[in-house]
Amino acid sequence: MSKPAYILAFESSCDDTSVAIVDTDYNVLCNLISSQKEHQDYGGVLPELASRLHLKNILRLTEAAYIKTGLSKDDISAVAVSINPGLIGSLIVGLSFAKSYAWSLGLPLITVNHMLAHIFANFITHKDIKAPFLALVVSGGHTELVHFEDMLKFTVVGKTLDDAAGETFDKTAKILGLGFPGGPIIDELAKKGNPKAFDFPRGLNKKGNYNFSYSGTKTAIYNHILSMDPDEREARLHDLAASVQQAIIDPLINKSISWARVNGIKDILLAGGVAANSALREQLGQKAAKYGMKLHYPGLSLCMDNAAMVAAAAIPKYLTGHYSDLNVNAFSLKGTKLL
Amino acid sequence: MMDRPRQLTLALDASQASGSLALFEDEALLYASYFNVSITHSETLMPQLDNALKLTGFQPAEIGKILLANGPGSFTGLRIGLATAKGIAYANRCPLKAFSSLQLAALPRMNCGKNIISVIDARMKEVYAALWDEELNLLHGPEVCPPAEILNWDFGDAWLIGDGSHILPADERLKSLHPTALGYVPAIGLYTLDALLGADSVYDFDALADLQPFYLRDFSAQIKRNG
Repeated sequence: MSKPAYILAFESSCDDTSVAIVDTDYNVLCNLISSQKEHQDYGGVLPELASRLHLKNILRLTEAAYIKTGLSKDDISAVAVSINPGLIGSLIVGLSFAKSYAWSLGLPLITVNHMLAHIFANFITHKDIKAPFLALVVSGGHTELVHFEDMLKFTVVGKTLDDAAGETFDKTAKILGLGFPGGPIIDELAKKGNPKAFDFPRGLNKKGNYNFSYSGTKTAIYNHILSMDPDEREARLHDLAASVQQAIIDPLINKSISWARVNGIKDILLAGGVAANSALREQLGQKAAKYGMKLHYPGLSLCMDNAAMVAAAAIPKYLTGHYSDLNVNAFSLKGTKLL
Repeated sequence: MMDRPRQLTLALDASQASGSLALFEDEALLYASYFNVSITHSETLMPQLDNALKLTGFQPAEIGKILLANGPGSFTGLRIGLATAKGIAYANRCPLKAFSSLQLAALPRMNCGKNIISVIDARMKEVYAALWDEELNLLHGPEVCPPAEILNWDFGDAWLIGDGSHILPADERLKSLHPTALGYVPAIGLYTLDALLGADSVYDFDALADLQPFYLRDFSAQIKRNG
C-alpha cells in the first residue's frame, strides 16, 4: 500500500481561524482552531474585525501545526482552503495565504466549498463510508439534502425555500432571551420538556416534496411565545423548547428517511452545526435503523468550523488531480457546490 | 573568483485599487507590471506574479526578499497583499519589508526642494495623508481626516502628491503638479525606498507573524458611520 500524503488545510470563512494537517487516509494529525472571542463585545460577528484577526492568527497557527505534528513544509503534498460560502473578506485572507504558500512550495492548491467540507467531516470519524450516500446539511444558514453518487459527483435534491433550520433555533432562543447560538441552549432545555406540549406547524409536509420551509414554523413559534404570559413562558420553558425543537427536526428526519427509502440509499450523513443536536441525532438514527439504514455524524468537535474538514473534502480532489488555478477567487454565495 | 549568489527581490503593491509588482535581480530591474482593472487583486495578483516568474525564468523558491506597500489603503487589498507576501516569505524563509503607501506615493517629489504632502483617497469623504520633508522624513501624520483639515497643517511651501490630491480644496500654497499622472507610484518605487531608507533585514518568524497592515482607520469606522 502506498504511503498516505499530507494535506495542509486552512479555514477562515467566519470567525474561526483554523489550520489542520490531515493525511489522505483521513487521519487528523492536528486541527488547530483559534476562535475570535473579540466579537462578543459587539453582539455578533463584525466582518472587518474577523478579517483582521484571521490575518493576525493564520501564520502562527500554521507554524504551530508544524510544531505539533513534527512535520515540515517538505512533507506536505497539497494545500487546501475553503473559498465559499462565508464572509468574503475573511475567506480572502485564507485564500491569499494558501495560494501564495502553495505556489512558493510548488504544491497543488485545492479549493473547497465550506458546506461540502462539513459533509466530509464524517469521513474523519467514519473512514469506511462509501458512496452512494445522502447528506443532510443543517446549519444557521443552510438546510440541504445532498445525494452523492460518488465522492465528487452530487446533486442537491432538497433545500430550504426560505429560512434555515439553525436560524429557527437561533430566532426562538432570541425571542426567549436565551442567548446565541440558540441550538445548543434549546437542545439542553428540551431534554426536560414534552415535545408534544405545543403543536407548531411543519412546513412543506406533502409526500414527495423534499424541500424545506421554516418561515411558517418560525412565525407560529414567534406568535405563540408573544401571546404567552411571561410567568407561563418561564414555567413552561422546557416544554416550549422541546416542542420547538421537534417542529424543527421532524421535517429533517422525515424527508431524509423518505428520500433515502425511495432511492435505495443505505447511508445518511449528518453535517453542519445542527448536526450536534442530540434529539436530531437520536431520532434520525432510530428511524434510519428501523429501515435498515445507517446514520453517520461527525464527532462533536468536528461539527464546528475547522480546517480538518476542509482537508477531508480536498482528499477526493487530491486523489483525482482536481486542482485550482491561481486566479480562483472566494465568493459568498450560499449552498453546497463543487468548486 | 566565486560568483555572488543572485538576490531575487519581489516588490508588491495591492494596497490601492490599482496594483503593481516588480522583480529585481540584485540591482537590475527584470520585470514590472501595473494593473488597473476592475477585477479584484484576489484574482489578479497571483497570476501576475506567476507570469513574472515564468517570463524571467525564475522559480518561486528563488525569491529572496519581498518589499511591500503595506498601507494605508483598501482594507481588503492590504490583506490580499500582506497575506500573499507572508505566504511567500514563510515558505522561502526570506525577509519581508513593509513600507508606508503614503511614503511610496511621496517618492516622485523626493529631493525637489520642498516638503511633500502625500494624499490617498480613503473614501467616506476622508483622505489618508502625511507630511514629509524633502528627504522623506515624516513631519506630520499619517492621519485619516477630512481633506480640508490638511490645510490647517504647518506644511510651509509643499508639493502635493497622491491619488487623493484632487479631493483637497484649492490652496495657493500647494503646488500640485499633474496629480493624476503622478497619482500612483507603482511597486517599482519600493526598491528605491528600500535602497535609500531601508535597513538591512533577515528572516524573522516573529516579526513576520506579527506584521499587520497599516490600516490607519479603525475596524469599527463603518459601524460608527452607519450609527
